[in-house]
Amino acid sequence: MTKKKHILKIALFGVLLLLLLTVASAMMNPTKWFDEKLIQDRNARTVQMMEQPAHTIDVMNIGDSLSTAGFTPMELWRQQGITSFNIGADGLRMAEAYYAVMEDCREQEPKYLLMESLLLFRYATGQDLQMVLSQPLYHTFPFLKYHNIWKAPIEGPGIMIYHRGYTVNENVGEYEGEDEYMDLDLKEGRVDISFLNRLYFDRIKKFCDERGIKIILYSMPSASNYNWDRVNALKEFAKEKGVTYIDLNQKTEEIGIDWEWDTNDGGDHMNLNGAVKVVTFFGKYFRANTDLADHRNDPNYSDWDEELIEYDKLVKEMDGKSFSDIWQEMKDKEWDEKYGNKQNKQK
Amino acid sequence: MEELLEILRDIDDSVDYEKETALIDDHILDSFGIITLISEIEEHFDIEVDAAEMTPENFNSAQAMWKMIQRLQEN
Amino acid sequence: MAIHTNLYLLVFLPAVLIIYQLVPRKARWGVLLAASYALYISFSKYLVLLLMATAAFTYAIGRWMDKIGNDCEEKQKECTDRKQKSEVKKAFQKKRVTALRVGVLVLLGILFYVNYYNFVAQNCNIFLGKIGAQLPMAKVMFPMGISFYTLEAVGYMADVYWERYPAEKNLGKLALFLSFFPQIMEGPIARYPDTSDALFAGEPLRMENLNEGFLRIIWGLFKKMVVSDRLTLLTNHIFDNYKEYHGSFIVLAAIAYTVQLYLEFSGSIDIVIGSGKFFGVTIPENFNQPFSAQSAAEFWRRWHMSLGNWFKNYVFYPITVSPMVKNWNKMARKKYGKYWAMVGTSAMALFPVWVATGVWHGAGWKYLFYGMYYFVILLLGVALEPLKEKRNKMLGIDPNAWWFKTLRILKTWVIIFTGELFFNAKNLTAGFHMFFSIFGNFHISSIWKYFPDVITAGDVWAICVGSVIVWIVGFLKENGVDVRGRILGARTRYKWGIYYLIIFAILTFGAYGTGYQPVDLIYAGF
Repeated sequence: MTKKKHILKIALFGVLLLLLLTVASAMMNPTKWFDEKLIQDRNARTVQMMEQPAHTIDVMNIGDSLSTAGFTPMELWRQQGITSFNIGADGLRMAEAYYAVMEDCREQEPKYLLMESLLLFRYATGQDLQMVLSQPLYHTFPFLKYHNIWKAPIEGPGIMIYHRGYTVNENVGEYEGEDEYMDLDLKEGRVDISFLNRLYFDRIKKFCDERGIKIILYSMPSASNYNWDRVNALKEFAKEKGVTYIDLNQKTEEIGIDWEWDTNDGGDHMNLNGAVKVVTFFGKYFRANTDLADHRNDPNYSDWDEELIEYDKLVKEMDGKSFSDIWQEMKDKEWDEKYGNKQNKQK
Repeated sequence: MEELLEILRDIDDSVDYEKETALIDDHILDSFGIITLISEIEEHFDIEVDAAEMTPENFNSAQAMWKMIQRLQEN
Repeated sequence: MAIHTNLYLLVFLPAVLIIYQLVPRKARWGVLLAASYALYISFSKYLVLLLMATAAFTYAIGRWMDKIGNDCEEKQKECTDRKQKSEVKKAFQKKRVTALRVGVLVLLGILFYVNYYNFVAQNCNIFLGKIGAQLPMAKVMFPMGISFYTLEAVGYMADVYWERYPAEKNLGKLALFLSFFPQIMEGPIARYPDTSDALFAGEPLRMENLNEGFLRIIWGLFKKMVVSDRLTLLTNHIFDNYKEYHGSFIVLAAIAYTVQLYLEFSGSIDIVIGSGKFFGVTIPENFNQPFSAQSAAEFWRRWHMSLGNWFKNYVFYPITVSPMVKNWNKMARKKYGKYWAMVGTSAMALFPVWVATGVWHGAGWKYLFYGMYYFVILLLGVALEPLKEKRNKMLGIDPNAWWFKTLRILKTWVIIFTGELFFNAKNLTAGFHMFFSIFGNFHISSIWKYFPDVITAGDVWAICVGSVIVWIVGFLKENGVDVRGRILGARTRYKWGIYYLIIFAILTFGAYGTGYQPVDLIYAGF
């Protein structure tokens, strides 16, 4: 065989592979799976978003676990009738955020994008370039993104319930550090915003600008993650990029954050108490500064009222617990029923 | 040569040393066998096997060993 | 950029292949060298200078020894009688020994420093502290792959010293041998003639090499991503929280870690060998169905073979034929008989090998223990050999009977699992704690009762099915069926079908994805 033929053969192999990936990706129908709570991993929010009626979400909230734990869209609906959705995920990185925004805006036309600022300081040494390479692949071939779906039939449905991307967590873990935490040094106190994070921020900004989505950069109240150095760096960054920046850490008194009751894990993440207060603040903020519509009496949005009933029921049931607590209880109970041995917890 | 074959058979008598050509490569002779082998041939043929000779090529067959022994005897 | 990452597999490797093919044949080794240093810089930054210096130093020592050899021949020509000649040779031989010693000591010194300085200082400080002195701790950056390329360099110098081949005259060629990018992270440790010619030849890319390399790489990824990376979560959990577990869980952890280590290490070696194959370079094999071994000694001929061979060639044999050991052997044969001479000599040669093998893996008493563990077992193997033969004769056991072989294999497994338990324990104390806790409260049922939730039912399925597939392929190979060879020999449509099947198995059942931390290569840490 000649050289040319060899090159053609290799090219054909590649093309066929891409074709197979495309077919496999087209066959993926994650929304069909979601009803049964079979998707519980970090794709859960994206998939739930796909199920929302088109053009109904006005505010998207993106960020890592700080953002998803501290923002409850149902409460914003109750108070202001504003439709919002958490599209972040634990340990989210900027590259992933860019594709999440893009994918979630396929059917939706939000007016505002709330972006929790810890994203900008995040980066995993040596893995940044990996992400730059893998994220577009996951985006192009959803098969790769949802490849863990085979686990669902084996493991059955999970217990997590997402309310517009929020999972209720009522666990209380008191923050016992100093009140003036903004003056302290952070354990993991990077203040520079890396090249790649800037790059992806710019791409998100460009995407939003083209669609008339306004970005509001904000910092969630978090004693473990913010201090003046970081806030000042963010202020400067926001100014440079021409976006609004709101630091809730300076407003904890106004919001009414009680560090004894409002955090889940000693001043890192908010719990439900904290999230309600944060959302109350944003509700007032949106009412005062924007013309976001109140959809509460719009029959097209009746599903929100239905969901609110479910949500309130769950909030009552949870009674000071989080999903991981419930899960642990379930497991304990399962063992007890199976083996009737309450004491023998040693493995 | 016959003397060498006897030494080898003494170490392991299940091998056809006249035919085998991969004693080391196929691990027929393991490193412990080599220890015994070297002390035996040094004694019998009055030679010194030094580290430089410790290659598979020199030990893979009885023929190769015999060649090495002759070479060392000349020196 | 490690060799199992998408950055290496999808960008770096294809780019190097294309550039390699495009440049003229004579310049191709330069492409490989540049690529090797580029990859090295991505790990260890400026420490690439140490790698370059090592190559230059090794080169210089080799040339120096060659020059002494040539000078010796010149001088010998002037001599008239034989006696004079041998005296001249002796004098020059001394010089060559000095050159070799300098070379080996410098390289091993650096290796020892980066691996061991802090460990030694720490342990010295325990005693020094009593008299009020303290050795300072050093912040040592670990140069990637130093444990592997140092052994290659030492092997090269020793071979040149023994005149097994002449010293390399081209510095670039030697530098490429020591730094070839697939091998730099975790070996296999090659000997100079193994790869140097092919590395330098600049052979064009060939379809059969591409096929072979590609199949090898995806097979390695399958082992690593489907099975090993999932097991990591389980073993890390149990080994980190070892005090909470005992009995059957420790046994499970030891077995799981052994499987994980084998599939991870042999899987990444598959990627290494496959990558080399692309360029027409045949990198030596590192594994040969180690779990079919019938004894610990055989296990070490099938497991991390390149390390075992290195120690055999450069430590075991040289000690065996050293004058001191030989003299002892002669004396012992007369005094205590052949058997004891043999056992004693074995002990003398095995002991340094296994101290060194333990120490080579890193600082920590557990590694030393690991080495000593195998020293004792292998020595017992040698010492008990006559006894075993007697037993077999007395009981009429045919050592080739299948049941006897199976028993021996199972016994070897127990030895391996126990060794790896200590090898992966947090430290030696933890290792003993885990080992002894096996014997308390052993209940098989507690495994499914209290199975830690770090991995899920799906993971367990993937691990089991993946392991069985790997086992079947190994079993067939052990019995003379070369599955890989058959696939490569098949018609294109079947071959491609299998490629796609493996690729989709990895993409579906592999552990990867956003939020998933890729698992580092274990042996790259040594």
